[in-house]
Amino acid sequence: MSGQVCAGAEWLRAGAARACAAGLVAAAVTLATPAVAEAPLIAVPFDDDADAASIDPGEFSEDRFADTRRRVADDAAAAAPAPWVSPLRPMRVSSMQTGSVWRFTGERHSEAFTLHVGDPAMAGRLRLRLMSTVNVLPERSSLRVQVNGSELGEVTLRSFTGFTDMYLDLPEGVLVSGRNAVRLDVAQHHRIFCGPDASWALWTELDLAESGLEVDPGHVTPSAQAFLMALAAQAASGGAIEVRGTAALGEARTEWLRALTAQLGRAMSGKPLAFDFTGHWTVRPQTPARARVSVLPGAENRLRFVTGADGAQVLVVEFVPGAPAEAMPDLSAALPAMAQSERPPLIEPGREVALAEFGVETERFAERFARREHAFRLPDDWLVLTAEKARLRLDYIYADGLPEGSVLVLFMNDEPIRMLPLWGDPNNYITRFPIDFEARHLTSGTNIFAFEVLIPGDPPDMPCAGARGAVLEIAASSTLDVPDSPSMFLPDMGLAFSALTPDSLVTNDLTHRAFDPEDSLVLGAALARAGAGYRPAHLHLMALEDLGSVPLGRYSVERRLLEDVLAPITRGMPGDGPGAAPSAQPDPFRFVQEARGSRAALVGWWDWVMGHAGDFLQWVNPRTEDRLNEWLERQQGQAVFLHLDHRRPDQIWMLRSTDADIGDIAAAVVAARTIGEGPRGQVSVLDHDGTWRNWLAPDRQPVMLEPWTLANFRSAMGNLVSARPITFVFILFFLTLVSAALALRLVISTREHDR
Amino acid sequence: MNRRHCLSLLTGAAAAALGAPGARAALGALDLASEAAPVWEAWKTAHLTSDGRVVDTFQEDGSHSEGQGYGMVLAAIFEDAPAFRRMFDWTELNLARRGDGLLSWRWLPGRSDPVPDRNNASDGDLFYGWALVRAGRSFAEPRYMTRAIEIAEALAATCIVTDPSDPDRTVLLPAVHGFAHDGRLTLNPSYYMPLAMRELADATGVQAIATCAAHGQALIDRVAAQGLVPDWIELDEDGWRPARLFPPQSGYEAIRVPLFQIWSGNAGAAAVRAMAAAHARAGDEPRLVPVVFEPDTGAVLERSPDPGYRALAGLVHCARSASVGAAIPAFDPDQPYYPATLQMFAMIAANEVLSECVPI
Repeated sequence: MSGQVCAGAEWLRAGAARACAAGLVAAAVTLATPAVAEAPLIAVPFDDDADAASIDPGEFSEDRFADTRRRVADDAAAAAPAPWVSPLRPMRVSSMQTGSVWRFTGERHSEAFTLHVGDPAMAGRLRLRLMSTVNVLPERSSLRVQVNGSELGEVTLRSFTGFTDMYLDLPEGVLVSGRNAVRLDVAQHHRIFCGPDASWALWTELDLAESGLEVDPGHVTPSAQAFLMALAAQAASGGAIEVRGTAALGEARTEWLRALTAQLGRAMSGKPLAFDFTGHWTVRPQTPARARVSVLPGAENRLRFVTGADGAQVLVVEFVPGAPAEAMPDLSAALPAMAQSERPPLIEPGREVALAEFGVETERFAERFARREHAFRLPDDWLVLTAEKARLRLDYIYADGLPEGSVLVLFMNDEPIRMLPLWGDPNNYITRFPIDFEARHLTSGTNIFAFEVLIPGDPPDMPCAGARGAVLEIAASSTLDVPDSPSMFLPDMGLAFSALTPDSLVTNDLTHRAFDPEDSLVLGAALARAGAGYRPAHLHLMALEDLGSVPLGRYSVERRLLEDVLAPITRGMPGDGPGAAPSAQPDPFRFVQEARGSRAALVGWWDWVMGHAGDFLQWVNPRTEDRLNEWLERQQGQAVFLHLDHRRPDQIWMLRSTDADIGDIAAAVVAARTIGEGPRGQVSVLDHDGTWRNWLAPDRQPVMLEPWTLANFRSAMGNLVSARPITFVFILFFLTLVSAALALRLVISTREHDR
Repeated sequence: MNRRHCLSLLTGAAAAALGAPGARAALGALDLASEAAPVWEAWKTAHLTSDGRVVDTFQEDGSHSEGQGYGMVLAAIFEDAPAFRRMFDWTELNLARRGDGLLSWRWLPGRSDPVPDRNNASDGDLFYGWALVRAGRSFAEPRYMTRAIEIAEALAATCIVTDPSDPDRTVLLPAVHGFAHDGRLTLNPSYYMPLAMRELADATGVQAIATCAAHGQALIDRVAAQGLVPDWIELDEDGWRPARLFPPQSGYEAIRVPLFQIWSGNAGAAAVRAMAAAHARAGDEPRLVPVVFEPDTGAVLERSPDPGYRALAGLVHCARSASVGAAIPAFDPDQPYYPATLQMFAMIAANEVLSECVPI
């Protein structure tokens, strides 16, 4: 290379032996004068005076003119595009999923997934990336796979040290283009113990992002099915769906994007999609894009599917500039919504309803521990606060030989309502076994009842005996009878929350301080799933600075407390938190406290009396603003939902933490609206674990929604009294006292008259 | 006119008649300084040192006048005055050593003499001068314009010579030395950047450069009429032919010709049509894009994984296509300096001239 560095006409003619001399000449010229235009000290194809025929172009062309630009893919790894996976996508939103990992727990766990396929012929096998706890006994533990109802086979669970790929061949004709239903049934046995504790210690994890069909990007033909397949892969990778070029939509941008994101969200089961709205000119993301949406102006409003330059499947949405949102091409034809958008089935109060009527099939249990939940809905104006009973009539049978202590526990909205022993009368189909429970455990909207089975090990310190069949069966003919109620409403955000739609989002001039414009689109897409079928409610997106405009009804909320609730999580050094061990430093205030002496005892006694008096008064007539602020002091979360003014039953106000991920909030919203356990009451905090923590005002009063009649008086009055029983007791007590005083006065005055 | 040529013309006409004008109106030219700021930041992070040196890792981590000029054009377009000033200062300090106003073509780190070859590269000088013109307007720095005038005059004096095949025409030599021999000139068609030459001429008053740009355009059109434009050509009194001393290929040099044609507002140029046709013949292959062709047959000699070259292919295809949107990948900062910079140029060319050619 030094020869090339020294390259010049002299060097070219005389060869390498003169290289140093040429370098010296160059140095001399540099020192002598900066004007070196005449000095032929350059790498050139040929010199002006040289004989071209005597020049070997190979000696100089490498330096300036040729291969310095080259980067040829000369190895197979670079030439072959990296395959990606069309992933298994869960049919439901669940806490079983953390990131891209789905956890199967217990002895048996079945789960339904969707597998999007562009071209069925492209895939010959299904990949499952699995890892199990070491507690799993591989000889008796397996994962069984069904695709579109066809048995595909099973794999043994034996990956204990890390995720391992396992494969099942896909026979021809099993897959179809579009959506494919995949069911995974996991059976696990503990290698040492038996019983509920052993069952809780069993798990197998499936890496969803890496489980599914291996896709060769070079063989993906653009289509709606291929796009959905890539969309699932993009979502599974944890990346947001990029939507490019939306600025050109102009004034109709929000409406177009709301419709677009809502339909994309409806087309995918599982966790809601996150979106990233970008310009056209972007930097390559860290992980390769699999799918995106590109919005482009065109001669007509239409959709088309193409492969991007980076191999991503692209949905191109072309629009005629200036076109209104109504002109948007029909997305639902190309990207049909999934059935998972449906809400839980509605049951009719006042009538005995078979479990089968709201989708519960006959349940069979073979596990030592199992919990199966079923959701149903009650009418939104249903309300029972009295001690009135609802009745479950259970048809069930259990096997002989179950150890003592085997029980079936029934839960209604996480309240245990009955524990049934599973020994003593085996092999006898018990029909219409009545289980009465207080109807006030039920609420309007979504309710969840659960069967939980616990069968101790026999013995518990040995592995469970070999394979056995079902030990308990609960028939779908079992019934639930929920008492009728007058049409009443207890102020609660649950109803408004279930009625939210993408059109429900309301912003104001200060919203931008807490929400990006795109946040409302992400929320809107989430709200497009599982929406109620009646007049939409409103969700106001608020900045904390705008708290003054939130109607608080009879309540008050301290802004400082809300700031604390929504404060970003700080991850300080161990010991920084409020629960840190007391410091060894001397306390300078110790002497002040000690100096109080005997007076402190008196003050302490007075404080105690006043404190308990305050509690008593709160019990008699709750001052809810104090309770709300006390409750808020103990909360921390990523979003707060307020619904404090009962005169605005269809309005919710939402605040968010500055570090909250809108995608996480959207996922929690979807989960709450599909499986219940969402925001309730007057204030709800979505904590950082995705759990809704609700505050129900103790003084809220039911509102009658129908005319008072003799028929509904008893039930309605019962609800009113049950809402604040102590208050009514004291009112009656007060009236009694007044009556007694009047009577006494009457007696005394009569006697005075007599005298 | 052969059938392919006819089809390409019809396609181009369809593009003009249908979606492209409406799309162009709706998209418009963006302010890249704000709309694509992350892209510029990524390019700087990958290829620009803190002292203003544009590093070409494929050339021994060296720098050259072309890279400095390219980088400064980018800085001017992205309105990044500090970055521009750093590049300018570094270039003046390290490459402005010739004394005639032009720049030495290369600087190599770790050498006792980092500039062993004092010859210039006229494309580097051209972009350097053009960048100074644009920066002089944008950043209100009089010394930039003063320096641009010096560059323009030097280029006209030393690198613009009479076309041996037509005394009424001029051509742009690749350098002051080494490319003229016995009435025969060796030229690099990709050194012609008509827009840069016109703007430099207009701003400095050195009209010889604008004239040379017009003559160069005609020359490139004549060459492209025969097929792909070769990397290097020879010119003598009989006209042009592929340079004998270089491989007969249209590759890493000539890949810039259609880009500069489009950027200069000549998306219908023969060079663009020829490149679009070559890509269409070569077909698509995931991850690898053709970069080196055999000029006469269009056979693919090399493919590359670098997204910058794919961006050029996407731009060229879009220029000849009826549809809106181009198969241009997102900017990849991990690719080498040269394709990365060409990808930046493709973005700018699309934005300024073919606004409907946004990446899909």
